Amino acid sequence: MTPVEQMLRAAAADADWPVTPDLAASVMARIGGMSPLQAADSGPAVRAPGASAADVRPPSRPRFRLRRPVAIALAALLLLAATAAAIPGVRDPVLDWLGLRSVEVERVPQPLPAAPGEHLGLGKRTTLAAARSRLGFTPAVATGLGQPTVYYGGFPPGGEIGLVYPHGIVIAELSGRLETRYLMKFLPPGTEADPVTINGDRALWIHGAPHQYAYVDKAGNIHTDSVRTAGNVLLWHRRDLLIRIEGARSKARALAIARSAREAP
Amino acid sequence: MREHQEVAFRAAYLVTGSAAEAEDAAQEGFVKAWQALPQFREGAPFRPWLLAIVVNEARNRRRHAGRQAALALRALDPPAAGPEEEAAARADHERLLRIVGGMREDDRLVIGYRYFLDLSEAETAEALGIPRGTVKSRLARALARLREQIEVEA
Repeated sequence: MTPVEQMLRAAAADADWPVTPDLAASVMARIGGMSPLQAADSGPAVRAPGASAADVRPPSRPRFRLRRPVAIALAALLLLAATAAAIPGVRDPVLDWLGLRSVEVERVPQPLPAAPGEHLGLGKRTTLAAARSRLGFTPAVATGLGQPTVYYGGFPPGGEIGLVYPHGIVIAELSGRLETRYLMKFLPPGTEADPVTINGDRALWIHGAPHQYAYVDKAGNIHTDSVRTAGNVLLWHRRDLLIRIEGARSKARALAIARSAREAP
Repeated sequence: MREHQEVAFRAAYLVTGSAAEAEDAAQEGFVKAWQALPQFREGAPFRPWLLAIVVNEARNRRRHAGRQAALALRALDPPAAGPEEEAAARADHERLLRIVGGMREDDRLVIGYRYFLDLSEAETAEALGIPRGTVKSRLARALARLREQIEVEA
């Protein structure tokens, strides 16, 4: 770093910025508390190649079908201010327990439809050894369930491994987190979120209708994903890994599977 | 949203030099970002995308007002009982901030993004809508001009 750059860094740390106003209330008032999922759905709009973000102009009405993951991500941000949208009975215990004070949970009228081709979109079939050599982390493998069919996907950064066990159990692991600011659950009516503990790690057992969730990959980018097999999922934050266990018949079964997990040899 | 409002407000302030206009621009930027969500590239970093919209809004407001902005950032007051070195450092910082505040907008933004708002080179490129190579060259030129101005005032 050059001397002038060092001076800039030092001066920046010393800068007396104007106080940042709290914009959340005014922005929420202007968008009328509208969830993007409630907006009109007339297909995607794609930014022209080479167009800068500044060239973006709002469409005449919001369109959210194929860009739904992004809508969810910003909804997560905007809903930080929308306490009215939260469900007190769910939000507070979950957040208190997880320490995720800024997470909001919003009920939506209908479960989000799964996108075409999303079914078990776990990547390419491979072997555990081959997947492990390409992953940016050491995966956890459940014991006592038999040999899984292994899938590897190169996305998000660090990769994702999918382990499909007999009897419909699917375990998917990636390097990411249910980050405080972006975690967003869209829970259809009848879906519940229970905080649980797995070997001292915090986790959420989500049971009920199909739903989606948002996560942040290790590069800090926001993504969403769908539960692939059924409405029930155990979202488990194990060290740097975000692990989903899907397809378990009950919470007890999901927890037992999680507690049986060991690092892959 | 609160996570991003400070960086959005400060980016707007880099352009407008006015806290009130920066607030309006940031608020408008958030609303437009909300409306423009379908045009967001999935998987792209959110922050530079938001900043591009906010700064575009700030530029429009400044142009509409028909004036050139001069950033009015000051250095924090040093502790009352601070040693002389702290007071001297503060004076240096004050001078540097004033010089940066008087630079043209392109220079101010690229320096502001990289050193004041701590954006990465990739984020700066995305926020400014220019290639990373252009960020490097633009930043190098801006720093050269800054050095010249520092020497002039020395």
